[in-house]
Amino acid sequence: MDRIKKLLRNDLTSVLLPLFVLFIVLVTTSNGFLSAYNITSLLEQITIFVLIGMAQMMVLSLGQFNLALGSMGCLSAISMGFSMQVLGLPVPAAMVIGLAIAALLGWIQGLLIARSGINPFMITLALISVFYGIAAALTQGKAYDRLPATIQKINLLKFGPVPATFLASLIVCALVYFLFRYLDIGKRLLAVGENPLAALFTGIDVKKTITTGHMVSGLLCGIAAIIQISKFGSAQISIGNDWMLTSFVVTVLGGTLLSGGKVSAVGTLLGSFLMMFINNLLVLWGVNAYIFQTILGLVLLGAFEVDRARLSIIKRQMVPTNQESTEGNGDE
Amino acid sequence: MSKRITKAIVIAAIIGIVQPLVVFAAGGSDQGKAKAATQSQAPGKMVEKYPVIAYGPITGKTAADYKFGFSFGGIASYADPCPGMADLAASELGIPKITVQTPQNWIQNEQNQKLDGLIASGMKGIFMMPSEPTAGNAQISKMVSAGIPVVCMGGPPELPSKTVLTLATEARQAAYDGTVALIQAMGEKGNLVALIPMLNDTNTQKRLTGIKDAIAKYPNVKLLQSIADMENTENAMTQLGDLLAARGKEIDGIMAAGYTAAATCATFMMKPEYAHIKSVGFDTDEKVMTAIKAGKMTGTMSQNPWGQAYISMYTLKMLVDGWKYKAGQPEVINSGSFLITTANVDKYEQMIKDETFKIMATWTDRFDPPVKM
Amino acid sequence: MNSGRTKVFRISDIWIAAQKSSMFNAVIIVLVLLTIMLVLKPNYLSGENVYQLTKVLTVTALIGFSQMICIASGGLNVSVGATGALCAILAGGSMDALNMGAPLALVIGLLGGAACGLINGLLIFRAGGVGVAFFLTTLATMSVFQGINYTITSGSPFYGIKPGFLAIGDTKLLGLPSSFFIMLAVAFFLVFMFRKMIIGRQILAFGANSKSSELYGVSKFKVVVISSVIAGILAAIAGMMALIRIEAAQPSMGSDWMLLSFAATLIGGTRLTGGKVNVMGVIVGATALTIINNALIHLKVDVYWKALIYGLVILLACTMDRLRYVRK
Repeated sequence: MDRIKKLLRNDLTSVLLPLFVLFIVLVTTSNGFLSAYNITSLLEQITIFVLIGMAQMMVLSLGQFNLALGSMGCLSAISMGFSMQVLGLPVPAAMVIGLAIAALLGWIQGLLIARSGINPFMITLALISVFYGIAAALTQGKAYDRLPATIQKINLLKFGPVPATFLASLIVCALVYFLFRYLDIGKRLLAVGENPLAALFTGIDVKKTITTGHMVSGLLCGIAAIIQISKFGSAQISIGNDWMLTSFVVTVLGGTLLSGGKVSAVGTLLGSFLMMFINNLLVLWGVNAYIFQTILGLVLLGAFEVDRARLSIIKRQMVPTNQESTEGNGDE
Repeated sequence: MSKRITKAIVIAAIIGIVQPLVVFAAGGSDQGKAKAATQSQAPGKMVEKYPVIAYGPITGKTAADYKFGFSFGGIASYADPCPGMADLAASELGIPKITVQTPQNWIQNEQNQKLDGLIASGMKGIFMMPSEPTAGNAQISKMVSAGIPVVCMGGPPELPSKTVLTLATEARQAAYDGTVALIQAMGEKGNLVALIPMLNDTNTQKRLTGIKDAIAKYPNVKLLQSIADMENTENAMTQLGDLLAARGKEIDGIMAAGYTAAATCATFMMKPEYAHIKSVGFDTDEKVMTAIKAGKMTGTMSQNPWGQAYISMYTLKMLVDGWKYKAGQPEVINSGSFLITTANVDKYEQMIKDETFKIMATWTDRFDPPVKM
Repeated sequence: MNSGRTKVFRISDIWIAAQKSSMFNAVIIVLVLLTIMLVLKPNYLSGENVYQLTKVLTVTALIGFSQMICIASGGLNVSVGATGALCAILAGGSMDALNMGAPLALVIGLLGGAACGLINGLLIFRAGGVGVAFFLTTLATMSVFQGINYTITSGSPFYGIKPGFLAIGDTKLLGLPSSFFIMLAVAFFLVFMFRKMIIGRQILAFGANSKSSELYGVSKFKVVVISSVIAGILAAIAGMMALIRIEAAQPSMGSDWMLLSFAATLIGGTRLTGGKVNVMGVIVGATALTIINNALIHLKVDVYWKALIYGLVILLACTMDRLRYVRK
């Protein structure tokens, strides 16, 4: 128990510390940082980061990647736009459709990975184009912008400067945490991610676990798509085109091990804050837009360093009898 | 324990040292710039060129209220003249220079982060081209609701929009004029190919309409094919190269109604095997101008990024001063398009600036002056 | 080999041998595509068409080679496009802004590629050297290289390319662009490297099974770094050939390269699990992709179908490959 507590504390420190420092820097060097406008904007953006971070985390727990999460969000958003604008369905019904489609897309990806024998990376890479392509062909590039006003009202709902959508993302975060901590499926996901072969031998239905993991990932993309549509007030195929890189940055910053078998929901939440603070800092300091990209890459590299350090700490802290189980890390 | 503390101290130290350096490099702190602007102000003074507009901050406001930000939709050479002209306007108006924050890609989420950052750092007015015309509206509404006036340029957001007005080229007219010039150079007969950017963009659709309308007026001219998606250079080169390789001999004229399309067209027109093809482009990319000077391209339709930036700055100043855009005025104002050929290629910039000043001469008539206290 | 015995080549022997080759699928796809196009446009293989198609497929093939080396060593590289773009910018910039001659610009571009590759290699090695580490490190370096690219250019292209530089790739030889022959030379070098050179065999062994190859004395450091450096140089060559093709050094180059790099390699029969490559297959795969793209323009297909078609083609190639594997 003690060792686990120490581990947890150790992990979150690498996120909390820079977060704290950045916060202080931002508050002291910029007048507008604590304005209601800025806080709302930050939280709105963080909401989406958290959700796509969670989506990626679901798949990272399996030791795989979901490269197509942007396209899943895109197609889900288009289906919602279609439902609202062309079919004239009420907003709640459209949302259900969107979530269902998103989950379906995730399920398809999971099924292909689990049962086709084709390399998972290639499947998710190809699906980026396939899902986006379906959306593009369906809409011919046109946007759905005559959506009922209710969908935008969701975004405008606020408690002080805190948007309601942010609170929703916190709830989702809590649910995911709960899933991994207490639910059986969570343990199975982590087991498969840690060592698929060993998981198989312990009786876990690896194929079903993989499919479920990707399906939930898709579902989370669907939630993110709803919020994105609400933010934009429209649904178009450009939704999700910036999700992939961010989803990795946010999860890695937050401490989810890239080699699978360990996730941190709270870490992903904090990672979203950290990423947004870095973004905000660069804009508020008037940093040249061209350097942004470089800094993003450097931040990611820095996060890997910390990830590596953490991995070696964990390995060192393993009880000697567990030496065989350290085999499966980081090689798939 | 001590490792963590050391880490914290190191991080804080680095940030503490780096931040002032970065701010210094970025051009001084906000307070410094505001002070510089207030020093040149004299109460009651009016702008030299347009004496109805107040010079510098009006009574009750400071220079900080006139900090304006500019965000183009994405990194593009089209917007190169904008900061210079905006700063020219700023010096004529006695307000601080603009701050530019453009997203790297044409992604609305990215531009929103930049815009929010601009507002958080104290900008009180924005002129911009939305990265995505539909998705950008929500951000515009958000900023306007927060009391920040927004002027759009380059291309309008999807209307209706909360932006005060948009300064843009009348796309259909520009494409029409360009095609007419092309057809005349073709001898009013032959096969014409149209190259356009993304087809889902309303701007592009208007350009295509203009081209088709022009062709309709000349019975001996036919539209052979139109290629869309001419945005990414590699892709555009492949597409046009494929077309020319397949049907080069059938083509008599090319109307390249887009920035990248025109630059791509210019590259091919410099080759001797396509000397029989006449072409007119859009915008003033270096390659296009070189081709025109060498006589390999008939001309190009320039838009007016100079004027769009200059007039936007004036508009923002007026709005903050209390001027109101009159109710019946159009939402999109034509900032002009100009046919540049070998005849005027050496003085086009001045020509366009003169046109801009002509628009400015009657600009204030579109507004109701501020209520005198 | 069999001395003194003449080999009788029966058709069935050739067919069996061809089927065994992992680029069989790719060749079938290309032949089908060509047939369709020739039916629709009888002069499809005219001199100009072929010249144009070859120019495009050369760049795609080189991009594929760069990715192929990374896959061979067991990793996945998403920074191929960013590396290529950066080297094109370095070469273009040295001619445009610094007024250097074509040969020097070429060298600068290649050195840039080697440097990017070296950075990648060292970081990947630090991060573990295989699989996940490769992908995520290159994700980060992709951002860094793109950022450097845009910082150097401020978003504007370099147009002042020296004619001598363009001639490197754009000279007509035997009806084909000289860039094609450069690509072939690279291909032969790669075949030689993987068959005869020790480092080539080491890379393959490492990619097939990193742990056991290390036990046999293969140096992880050497393999990771050298394969990354070569990949970087190949990406640089691709970037410079692209520069020659579009006659400009555009900062936006390379944005589509990631998908192309995997597609060409995969369709051509290189196993994604590492340890086995098919150099000529990459060329065939690149041809397939080029013809598909070209066909879309000829057939006036809406650009919005392109993404879907590309994705489905990749899935198809993977499936065909899988079916062959299962049938064995």
